[in-house]
Amino acid sequence: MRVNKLEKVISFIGLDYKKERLKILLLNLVGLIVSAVIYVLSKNAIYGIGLFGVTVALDYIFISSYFNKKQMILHQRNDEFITIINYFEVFINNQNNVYQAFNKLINYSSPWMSERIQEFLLAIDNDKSLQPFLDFANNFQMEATKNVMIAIYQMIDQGENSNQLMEFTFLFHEMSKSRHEEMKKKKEKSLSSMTVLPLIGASGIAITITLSIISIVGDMMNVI
Amino acid sequence: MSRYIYIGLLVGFLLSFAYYIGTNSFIFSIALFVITFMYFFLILGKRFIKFSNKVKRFHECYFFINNFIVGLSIKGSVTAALENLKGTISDDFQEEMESCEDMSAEEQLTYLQKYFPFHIYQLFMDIFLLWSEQGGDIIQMSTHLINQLRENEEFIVFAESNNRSHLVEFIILWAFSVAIVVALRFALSIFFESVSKQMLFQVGVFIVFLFIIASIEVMSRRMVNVEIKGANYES
Repeated sequence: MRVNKLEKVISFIGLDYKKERLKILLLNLVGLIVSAVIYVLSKNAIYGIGLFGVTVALDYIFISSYFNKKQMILHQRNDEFITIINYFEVFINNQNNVYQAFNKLINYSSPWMSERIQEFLLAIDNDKSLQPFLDFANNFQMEATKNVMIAIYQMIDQGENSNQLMEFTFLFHEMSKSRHEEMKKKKEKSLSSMTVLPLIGASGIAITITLSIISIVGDMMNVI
Repeated sequence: MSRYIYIGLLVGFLLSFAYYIGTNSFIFSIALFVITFMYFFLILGKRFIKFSNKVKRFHECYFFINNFIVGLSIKGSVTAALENLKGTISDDFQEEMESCEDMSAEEQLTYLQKYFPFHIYQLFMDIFLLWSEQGGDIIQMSTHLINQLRENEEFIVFAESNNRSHLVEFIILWAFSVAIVVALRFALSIFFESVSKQMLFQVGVFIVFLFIIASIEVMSRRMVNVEIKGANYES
């Protein structure tokens, strides 16, 4: 059976597709009925079309929220990967082998991540090739994840010698550095964008004053 | 909490006073005062107290781990390293330490996991336990941990200073916007009498003032959005 894109996204974020579809359907139905009623009562097509436009806009907001949520989850997963690899570095530098280090990471992971790690550990038990490492990296969107996992594989393959450890450390530090930069930029951006709110408020005040003055002038004209 | 009560009273008074000057509407001014004060008292105060406690704990955790590791490396004994920390820690932390004085030094460190609910402390404990079992150079063993701790601390300090500078910017911009309402009374004095009696004007300006509170809500949520792994960990 062909699964559409929206269904995939809704399932990905852990919601029930049928329920969500019903919600969207109800929203459109209510929007259409209200638009029709307003059109019939006002005999003015503009109001009806306007309300229908609002329904379409709500549809857009509603549907795009699923996609935004999906992006947020993917971003959180990437973020968590970098965090646990931070911890991995600590364990690997303290006489733990790769298997033990990943095993210890379970205590520091979200339920989703801990499931992935357990799957990975099971896979490397049965398959000594690079594949389980790549499969684990495929759970994340970042290309760098693959490089880190390959470096970890090479670390095992070549007896966890210090050269491989250094290569991993270098790769990882680059990733960690760019993550910190990104976090700082994100924080800065999220607060900078708040300056637009006082401007919206000032516009609101200006519009209110203008409308009130127009209304007074209108009343004066009527009197004259 | 009392600090936020005073801030709520002050902001509520300033907003309702500006509203009253701009509209002459006493009832709406009182409503605005009550809404602002309740918002600061019931929501904002609690949010910032929770945030500042979390950040304060992390700073303490940062200093504790750093000093403990250095102390342990120099003195070579856990008890001596803990003893070394006394007098340099905050009152809350001192109280926590006193409540577990009867325990052994190792047990005290384990007990402190409740006080420092961060992943980084858990990680520190893992290294400490490894050191207890196998020995070795604690500073070398903790190099990566200390680096991460420092990176996290740097980010939190950055977030705090960023919060402060953007908050000042936010307050100044809103002050200018509110000043428009106050200036109206004097700049458009001919129209003011008629304008202020209009319901459209009173309600319109009231909505804008409610928008100020909504924008404070959004701003505060963004300010406290500083993730420290382990503390209120959600994923």
